[in-house]
Amino acid sequence: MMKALLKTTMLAGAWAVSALVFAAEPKLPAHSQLDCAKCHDAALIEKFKQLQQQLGKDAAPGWDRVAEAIPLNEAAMQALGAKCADCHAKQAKDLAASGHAMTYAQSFLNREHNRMEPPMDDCLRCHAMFFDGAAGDLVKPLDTRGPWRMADEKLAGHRSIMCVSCHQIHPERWLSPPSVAAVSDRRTATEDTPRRSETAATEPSKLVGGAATRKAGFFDRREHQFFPADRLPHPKVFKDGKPLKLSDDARIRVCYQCHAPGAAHHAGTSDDRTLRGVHEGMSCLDCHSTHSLDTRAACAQCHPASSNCGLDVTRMDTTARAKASKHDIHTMTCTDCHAKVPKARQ
Amino acid sequence: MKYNRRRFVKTVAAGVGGAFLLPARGADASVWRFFTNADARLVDAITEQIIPADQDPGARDAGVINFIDKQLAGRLRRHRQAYRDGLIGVDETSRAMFGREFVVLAPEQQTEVLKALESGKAKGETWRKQSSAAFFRLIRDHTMAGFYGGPQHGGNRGYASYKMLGLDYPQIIGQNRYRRRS
Amino acid sequence: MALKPVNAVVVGAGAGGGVVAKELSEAGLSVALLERGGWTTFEQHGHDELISQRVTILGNAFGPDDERHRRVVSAGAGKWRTVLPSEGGYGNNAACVGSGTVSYGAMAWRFMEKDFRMRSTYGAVAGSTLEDWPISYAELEPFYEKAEWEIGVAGDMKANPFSPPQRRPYPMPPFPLNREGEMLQAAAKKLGFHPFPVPMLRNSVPYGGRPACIKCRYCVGFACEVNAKCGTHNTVIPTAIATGNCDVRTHCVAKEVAVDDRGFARGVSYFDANDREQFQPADLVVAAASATETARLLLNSKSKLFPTGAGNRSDWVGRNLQGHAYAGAWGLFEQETFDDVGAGATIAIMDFNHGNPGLAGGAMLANEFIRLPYLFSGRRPPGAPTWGKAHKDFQRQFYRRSIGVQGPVQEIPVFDARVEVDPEVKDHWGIPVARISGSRHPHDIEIGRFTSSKAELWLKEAGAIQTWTTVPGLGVSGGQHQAGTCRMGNDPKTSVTNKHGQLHDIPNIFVADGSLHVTNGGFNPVLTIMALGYWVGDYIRKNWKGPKSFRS
Repeated sequence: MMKALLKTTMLAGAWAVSALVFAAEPKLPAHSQLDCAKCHDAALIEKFKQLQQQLGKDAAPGWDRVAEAIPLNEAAMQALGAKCADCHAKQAKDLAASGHAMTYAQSFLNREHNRMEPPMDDCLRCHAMFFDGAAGDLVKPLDTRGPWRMADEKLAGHRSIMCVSCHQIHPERWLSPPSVAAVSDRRTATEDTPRRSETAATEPSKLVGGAATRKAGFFDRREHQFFPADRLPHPKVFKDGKPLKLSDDARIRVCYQCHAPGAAHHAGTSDDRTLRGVHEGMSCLDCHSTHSLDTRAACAQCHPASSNCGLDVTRMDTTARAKASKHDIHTMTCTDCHAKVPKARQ
Repeated sequence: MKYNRRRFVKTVAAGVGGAFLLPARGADASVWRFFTNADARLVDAITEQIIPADQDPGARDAGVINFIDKQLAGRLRRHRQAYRDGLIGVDETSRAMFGREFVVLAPEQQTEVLKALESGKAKGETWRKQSSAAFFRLIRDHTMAGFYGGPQHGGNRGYASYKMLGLDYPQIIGQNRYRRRS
Repeated sequence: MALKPVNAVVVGAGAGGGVVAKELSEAGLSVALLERGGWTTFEQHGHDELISQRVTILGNAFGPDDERHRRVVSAGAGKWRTVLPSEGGYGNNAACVGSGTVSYGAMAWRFMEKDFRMRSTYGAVAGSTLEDWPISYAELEPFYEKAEWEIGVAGDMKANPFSPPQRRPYPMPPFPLNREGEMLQAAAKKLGFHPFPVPMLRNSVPYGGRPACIKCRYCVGFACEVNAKCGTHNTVIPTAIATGNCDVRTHCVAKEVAVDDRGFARGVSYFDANDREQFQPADLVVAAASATETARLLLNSKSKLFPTGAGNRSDWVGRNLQGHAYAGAWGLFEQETFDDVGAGATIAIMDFNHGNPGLAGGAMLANEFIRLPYLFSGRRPPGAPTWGKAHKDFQRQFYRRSIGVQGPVQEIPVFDARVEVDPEVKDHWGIPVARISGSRHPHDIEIGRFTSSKAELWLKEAGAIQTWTTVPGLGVSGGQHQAGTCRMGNDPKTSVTNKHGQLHDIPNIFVADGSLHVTNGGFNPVLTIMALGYWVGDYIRKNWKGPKSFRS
């Protein structure tokens, strides 16, 4: 009981703090209020207008239809990605300084990794979402012997993860394919009564994580689709056959698309970092800042700077990368440090 | 070793911002690739009978019409004539049975019409060209594909069928790099 | 203009052809490996159920394409219909480097000793050309082993008393049972069956420089995103290329084997990726294009001495087309059977392959791979609604609560089940297409009824609340497990090749695919096709004494 209460308080505290951080951000106009030319070049806009005229209708032509008419290759995606920083300078800077800022060369020429497992198509799912080809077009050879090199040296510096990996730029209502309801609506719709098909798509998300569950998501290259977090599956993870408590924060679904356990969803398998131990049930975003991934400020939100044992929590080795550390935040339990823990508190 | 490059169509940043800026052409211009607006209403009604909405979305909510329309302009192009004839036939049968077009029938009446098609004994001149049962099987299979297949082909909007079946989608799965630690 | 001569042309880069190409190029022969498809990657179609090997409603993921390829199939009563590769009845395998081994479920079965001695075991069957193989299991055994170790198999036969003798265990440990497997294992033991893990051409641990399977939902019907499935495209064919002696020519469609007036093959005519006709001179030719396409190629290879086609003096080319009469049962359960741990097929029994009273054969039984949503929409008990609310209710209720147990019934060969070339219909390149006719032997259906009743019994014991059996009807055989059209045998009057896969009529033409099968086993045939690739390759290697080796 005590433990549960403590945890809830901690979670609530962390949540309140991060909400405050969001509120402090300067207010930017919605993407729907921007001119196309803010991000796109004239040639693309012209192509789009042609498509509109060809279709001869006032309904949005739908995602797939636009993509067929205006396919974007990786170079175009990289160029578009760079535009985000014009408005979102802080986020871009944070991302650039984070572990997510890896390049293709860093992702695919990692000798330690490639000796263990060869580069393969599945790597592209997280490490080259927008690449125009298969693994063999990106890195050679596809084996565990190496030496590995980029198939094309020009690719080396490309970003593995861009803003559009996790963010959908256009409002979803613009992207829906036509529907019979929308066609019927068109005849009755006026300035004041929006189309049914639009209102349905813009209903605010009620999930934990708030509006971010619509803004953040995952681009799945296998489906060529962006999945907003509110539509991604919520992870279930097991430890010793029992389900672990996972945060209700829908934003963690994005994390789990890449930081995923194996098919049986056992904690700690594959790339899984599910919190188990004393931090079980917290959200990834309770500690990690969304773009910088930085966690240093997080511990002190709940813990006294100096813990009972005199260790400075802000200097403890808490990262999952430190395999030898007893203080990996994702797995640490009371008994990792305390020899005698009352049974009731374990 | 040479790999084929797939034609990778990126959708994430495609621009549709001008969608609301241009004046509309005639209200009857088709928004579909293959169907007329009237055809689409009919196909939409048929598919909704084949997979009706209940506590989970049906064919209409899942955008099956968009799947069929898109595929008839693409990989299922060879079935266009079957649809042109078949849709005429559905209304012929509908009028013969209930005196009205299919889309305005009550749901129970629509079910009766489709049962007649399925049996191969539906009334209508058009069914001399292809059996009503064959057309029904065709549109039934296409409806199933549009509802239960992957969203990338234009149907299964919001991954409705995968959600209904409790399938994680995209599947949460990592590689085998690391040994199980717990 | 003729190309620079090579020692060997291998037609078809599938299970058999890939192995032969590797065996020959390793022995120092120069090899041209012709493949009508291209290299494929996971990236091309991903996990798209609607364009896969199992569902072709939107096309064939692994070829051939509908635009350029055709077949003609008997429609009964002397009528014929033209079918496209993505349509039912075409009997498609695949058209790409690795062929079916890219997208298969990858079950890795050895045939049993009795499968090589069907005539001796069961005697003559009326209306059938049932015969013994000219080689025994013992002769082929080392080549099974070679296939298992060079291409990679995970499994363990310790729990299977019916397993044929295996000198060396599999190179990889078996896959663990999934939830269906656990349920079926307990039930099988109660029934006195002998369940064991399905051997798989799939990495259960890292092997051959490729990673272990991640157990995704998909597998059968798809290329593997982590390259854990072991096909010829990621094992022997890269090895062949690495020798420097093997030139893999993709998008090349073989037209005919040119046979000179003395009765020897001179080489192969084919259309290259740009539709230009090429002639590749060669000292020997290996046809490994699948039971349908190998027969078509030989029948299209007319010459002065053999005006009805190469190897066809006795009119046996294209005869005895076999596949598998898949029979089994489905069961519905109250509790969830679905655990989303792929590939799904984990458990099998070989209790009913032989020794079934009154029956000339049987089938292995195994649980099915994971059914994807569209495929499952067609899985219904007889008479159940195929649409509407009730169909949707069934889908919702039983998608996660059903198990299928199926098995490939060993077909009794029928002389008139055959591949011919069509007198009129031609493909994009003007080559006469294959024409398929004849039907299964009625005894196949009797065997299917028996094995499916055992499958049903097994499901009931596992707790199924409702079960139904599925038994195929008569009808044209072939399909993905196509075999038998260039039977190997000792008598040139009743077979096409000798026991080494060498045409009786033309000694420098070999066959190395399922066409050679005298009978097709009660198992998925791919490992046997691979073993035959090694067997034929071994014979050619040992008897290769230079360009004139097989011209006497």
